Amino acid sequence: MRLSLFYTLAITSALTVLPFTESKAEEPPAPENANLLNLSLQQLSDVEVTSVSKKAEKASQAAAAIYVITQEDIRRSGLQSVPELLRMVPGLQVAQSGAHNWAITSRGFDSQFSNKLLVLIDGRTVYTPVFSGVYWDIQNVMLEDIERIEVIRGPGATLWGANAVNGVINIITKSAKDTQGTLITAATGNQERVSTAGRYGGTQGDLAYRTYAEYFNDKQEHTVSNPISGATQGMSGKDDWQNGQGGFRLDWGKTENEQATLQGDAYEGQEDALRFLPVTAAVNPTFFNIVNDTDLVSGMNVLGRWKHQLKAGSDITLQAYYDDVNRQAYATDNISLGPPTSLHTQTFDVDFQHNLTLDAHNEVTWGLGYRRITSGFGNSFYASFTPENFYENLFSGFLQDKMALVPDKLFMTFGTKLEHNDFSGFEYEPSIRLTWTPTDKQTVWAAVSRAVRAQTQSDTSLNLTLATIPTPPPFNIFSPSTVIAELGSSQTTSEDLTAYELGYRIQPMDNLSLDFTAFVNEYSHLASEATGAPSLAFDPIMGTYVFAPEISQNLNRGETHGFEAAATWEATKHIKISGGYTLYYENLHIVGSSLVTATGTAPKNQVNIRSYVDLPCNLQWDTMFYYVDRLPGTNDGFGDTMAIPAYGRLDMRVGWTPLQGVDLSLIGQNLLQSQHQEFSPFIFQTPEEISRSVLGKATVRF
Amino acid sequence: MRKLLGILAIVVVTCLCAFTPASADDESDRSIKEYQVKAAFLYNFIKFVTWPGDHALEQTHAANICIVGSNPFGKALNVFRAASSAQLALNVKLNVPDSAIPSCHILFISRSEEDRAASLLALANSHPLLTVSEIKGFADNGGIIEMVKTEQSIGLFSKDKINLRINLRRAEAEGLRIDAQLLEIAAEVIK
Repeated sequence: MRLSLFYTLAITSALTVLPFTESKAEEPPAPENANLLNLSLQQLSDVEVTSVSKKAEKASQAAAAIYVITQEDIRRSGLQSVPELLRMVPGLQVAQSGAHNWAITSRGFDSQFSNKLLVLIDGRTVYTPVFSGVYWDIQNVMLEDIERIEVIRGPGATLWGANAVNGVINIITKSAKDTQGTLITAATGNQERVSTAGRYGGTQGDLAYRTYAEYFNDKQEHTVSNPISGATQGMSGKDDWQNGQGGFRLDWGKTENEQATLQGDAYEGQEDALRFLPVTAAVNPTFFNIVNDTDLVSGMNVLGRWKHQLKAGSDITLQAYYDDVNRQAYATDNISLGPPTSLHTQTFDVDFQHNLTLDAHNEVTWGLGYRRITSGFGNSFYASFTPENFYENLFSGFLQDKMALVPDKLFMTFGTKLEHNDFSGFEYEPSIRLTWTPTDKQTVWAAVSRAVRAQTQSDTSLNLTLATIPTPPPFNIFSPSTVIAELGSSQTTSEDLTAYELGYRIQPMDNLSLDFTAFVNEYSHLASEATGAPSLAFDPIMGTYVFAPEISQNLNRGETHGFEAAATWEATKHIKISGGYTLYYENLHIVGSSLVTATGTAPKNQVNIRSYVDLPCNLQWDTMFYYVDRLPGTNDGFGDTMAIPAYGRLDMRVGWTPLQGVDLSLIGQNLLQSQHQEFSPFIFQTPEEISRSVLGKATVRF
Repeated sequence: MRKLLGILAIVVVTCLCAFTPASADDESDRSIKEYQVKAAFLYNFIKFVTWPGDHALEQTHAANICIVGSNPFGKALNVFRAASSAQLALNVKLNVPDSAIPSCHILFISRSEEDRAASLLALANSHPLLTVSEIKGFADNGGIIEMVKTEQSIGLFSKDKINLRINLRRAEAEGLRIDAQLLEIAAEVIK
């Protein structure tokens, strides 16, 4: 049944473009130099021009499933954070699990620990090497300074390396040259959230600079019911979240081929959370304690990049960055359950890349990289690493050739990344892609690639407490409490993916663009867990307990396939409509579910439709609708399956520019329901629903 | 599952073959050079701008197009020779010295003169002539028409186009009248 739906969709999408045969009336007339003088003014201002020597690859001819979130999308969606902006991208699954928790993935396997998606900000990797996932709560880029967000679904491993298994998200901020002058924003809303940001940019000769600071303070609460008594009284799910961040960026360079950048950020924040922490019977006969936790986060980063042209058709880029991340969780009430869990990760990375036009038919790109990660962990009963402090060296190199099989029409890009990491040794990730551009307005591409999700510290040496239960007889003679924990193992290997992709992109009319992608992913060695032999353990606070490990392995495998579509239509000069559709099927062979590998954690259908309408008197009216299908397989944090029903979301924004440089917006989010749930709670968290919210924002530029 | 991709591939190729036109304008029309279009705009300015008094084209029977600084147009300027007629001679003058500026109808200030654009405008603005340039911000700083290359994108497809920013206030101060049709297609009109 699902196969025929798949065929139907494929054929329907192909048929929708048949009527759009290129009509001669819409094309500019065949040009000769003299004929341009015969064009009307309107036609002349519509003519496409090419610069004399620019040979940059057109985005429309890329051999990958790319989606770009533009600054216009950012401004008019009314969304206030990067994770929220990702909802509009077909192929991505975004679910907000709590006030500051998001589970985001590409093409399946959504989890708190989603690990098959690489995220970069201006070339700096922002995933934590501890579990190769992203802490979204600390990626607070100032939205007004984002140039665009490029999302590539599918393996980008050849260029980006391990962990770019199902996608790469590249958040690109504006050059300092484009952020000149002063900008101040302030926003507040019914969720008692106050946020403000300020940025100043200037130039000094060839050097452009900017500096910014932003701060927000969220005071939220959600209702929590006691899992034993069901009572909600006296249970305050406090979700207070405040964060301050500041930074700078310097850009130097007059020409596109000779540029240097230096940028850095620093932040500090605090997040409150009500946690249900599993404890032994010795501490609490109900086997859990309700604890008010506060997480402290802080960090800084600095990045430098230099691009230099050696000669025509040959340029190099050198980049280095340092990133420092600190997280600490501790109990704010007087219950002390041991030392706080803390994490301190320092990353140092150096990358070199050379683009070379070898001859008329070959464009070669190659590069080398080195990364050193140092991680210090503060072990506690809940999470511990053995050893506590560790470091990792990652060496990588890649080589890629784009060959013109038929000049300007048919290209083949093949290449590979070769990496060496301390866990699995050498990994190679090859890819071969074909691009066919029968006309400038159509691209057909196909790709076969291999990608690898390399093991991390979590896979090899993490001991993570999942639950405490009464020991079943006859073992209860040893201890009344059993602790079930996930235990890493040195026997784990990296996960493997072979991906087959096919895409078609067309601009059938001047004001309409359509993009389709289909993929089939075959996975092997997916993370799995197997019950291990129990043993007796002791903790100074928890006492003696039976330790029942779930040992990490890589015995799961399976296949997923899907279809993604995106469309943009400029109906009139004042109305723009965009939409996306995602279809996802999985056929997994699960021997033992792990925290990431489980069925039913990604929705089968997702739709989004957005309209941006310009009204007279400098008014803007923007509407965004999203639909997310149900999640049958998420679990509730206590090990039981908790299906999340399908939901629809409606956001609306009204914007007004009363004076030049002053923008006011009124934004409503989640308008359809007063509350709805999107995902299961993160570990030890309580289930939380996302509420309807309204906020007002003012932006002043001068 | 590979069958699915196979089927999709066949469908896509079939519909592409069905309507990929064999028309000639697929390849060559993509390489219209920037300066051919800008030259065509200069030609149109002659049609859609009215000069006052002695400078009126009906009186002079010639339109003088002067370029100050390096010439980015190259051979694109040949259109003027071809379009020249007895009723209206189109004279293109390169490397015009400052003293010859008052005789120009259209003064194109090249990017090479960016540093002295302000002084050139001060000289030009005491005469009724149309100042045109590609210099960023030209229309805000005393120039009349600024030619901007803008990117129009839809989805991942994008094309560069030439748009105009016209400072109408400056034009009227010079006594020049700009036809409504030209103002209509301008991306921005500064009043």
